[in-house]
Amino acid sequence: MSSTKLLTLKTSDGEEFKLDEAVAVKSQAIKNMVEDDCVSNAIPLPNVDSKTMTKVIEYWKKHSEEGVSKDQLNDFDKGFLEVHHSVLYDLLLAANYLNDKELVDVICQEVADRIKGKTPEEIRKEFDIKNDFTPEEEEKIRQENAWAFD
Amino acid sequence: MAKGKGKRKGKGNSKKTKTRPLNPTSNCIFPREIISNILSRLPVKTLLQFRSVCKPWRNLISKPNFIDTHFYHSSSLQHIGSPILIHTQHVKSSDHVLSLYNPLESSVVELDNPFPFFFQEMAVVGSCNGIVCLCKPPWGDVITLWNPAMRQSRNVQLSKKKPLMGIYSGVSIGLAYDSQENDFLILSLLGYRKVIKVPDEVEMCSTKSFSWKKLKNEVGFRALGFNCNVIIKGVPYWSAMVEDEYGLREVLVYFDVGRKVFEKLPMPGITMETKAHLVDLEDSLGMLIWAKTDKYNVDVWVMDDENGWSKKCNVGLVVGFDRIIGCLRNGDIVAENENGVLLLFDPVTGFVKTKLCIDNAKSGSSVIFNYLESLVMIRGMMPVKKQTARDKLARENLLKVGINLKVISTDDSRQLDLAV
Repeated sequence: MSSTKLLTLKTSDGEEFKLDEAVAVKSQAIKNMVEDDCVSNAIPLPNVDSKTMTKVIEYWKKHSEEGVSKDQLNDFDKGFLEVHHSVLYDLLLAANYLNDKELVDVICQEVADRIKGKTPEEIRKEFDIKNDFTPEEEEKIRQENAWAFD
Repeated sequence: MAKGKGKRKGKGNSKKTKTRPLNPTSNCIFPREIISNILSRLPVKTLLQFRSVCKPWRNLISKPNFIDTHFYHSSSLQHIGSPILIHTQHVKSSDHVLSLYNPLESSVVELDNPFPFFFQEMAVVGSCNGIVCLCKPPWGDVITLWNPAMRQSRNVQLSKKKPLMGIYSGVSIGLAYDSQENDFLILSLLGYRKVIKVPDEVEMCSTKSFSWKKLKNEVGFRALGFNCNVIIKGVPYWSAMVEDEYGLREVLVYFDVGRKVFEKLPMPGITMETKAHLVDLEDSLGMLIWAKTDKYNVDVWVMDDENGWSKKCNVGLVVGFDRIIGCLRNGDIVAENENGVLLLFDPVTGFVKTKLCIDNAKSGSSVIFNYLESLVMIRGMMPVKKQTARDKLARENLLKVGINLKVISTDDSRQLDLAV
């Protein structure tokens, strides 16, 4: 049995999550804190809400389970990522904040798959990006690779 | 109190670090690293559209680091298979047709051929890191570098050394990629006519400087064929003849891109009764060997750095083939049947996974190459022009003048009138 040291994580909305240290260190940020030995009290995570933290912990626990095949993990990931884009984006920001590279990569791939067919204007709306091109500049860029736009 | 000694250059406020907005991609919901991570997983065509989203995205997409990361994702092995470039010739006009098979979309798409349309001969040297090299056999006197995903190409100026056609038998062209220098290299191997023991003269062109340089051929080999057999992770391989302490024999040679020298490798056991085809097998050198009389079985051999060649497996194909023409990086075997249809076989079960049909392809003309998308551009590349019907007609007329009795058949009645 691995050492059952429990860590307490406190989310932005005040909820506390108790988690095996062995699982929690999937987050490089938490791992650094453990190594720097500042985890005697609850670890504050002001950038993550409880709803998102629940999802993250669900992912971590599944990916820490023993005896799970690669296919089963892939199936789990597929279902795990079938969420509304607002939930997905919150998850991505949380995974980035917690510095879990594996989870960040998995979510980024999902986002990429979802935005593949969108137009530039749809992308701007999706990610809240301001169009800093003048109409002339934008037209010039389109002309550089006109064939890609049909 | 410190007094400045010399004149102060520039502005008075000499802060060492500029204050940057926390989120360089203006007001985007994601930080820059996340955007870069997401974008690096998208196909080239999508990224060319997304260049117009905002200036930071346009700038990001052309950065060398981003292009490298993007290629890394493009080249990650998919169990579904990897794209292949298919070179065929039109059954009537003998026009060279280049098509792309994309397993993710199960589609075969014809590409605009960037090779100067005047020439009847064209060979595909191969592809590496997103660049495809085309050349004109047997003298390699036209060489084109092409990025199909970006639809851009350029011709390569030839070396000053002109092959004397009476003396030389031909030129074999190879393509390599030096990842340390981020440089594509073209190799030109000039072979002597008749005397097979005389080693090839080697020249190399770097696409950074576009200058040709003579290289030593210490192995003393003589390449067989007008282009390299396969390119794996930027390294070209040729089957070649060499005379050494074991006598005059067939070997494999490859170009060590770092040291800029050639090295020898042994060939696995092939006989007069077998045929062989060099392939890229999950980024290792492989060879498909089959008996000339057997239409159902293929042996798959793999080269290991330490142990040399070993037989990986035998694949029993459910359907008979006419020619084995190669395999995908994931091991799917590609064969052509007697009707010119390409069949993709699962190497484990031997079942047909997909059938590919190129319209009007001359049976027996299919050649395939592994290809991966990249955003990489070589200096001087220009957009590929569409070959118009006019161009095709001009070429037909040129050929007609040279070959009086050639019958030109075309479905376009307008073209027939003009051709008379």
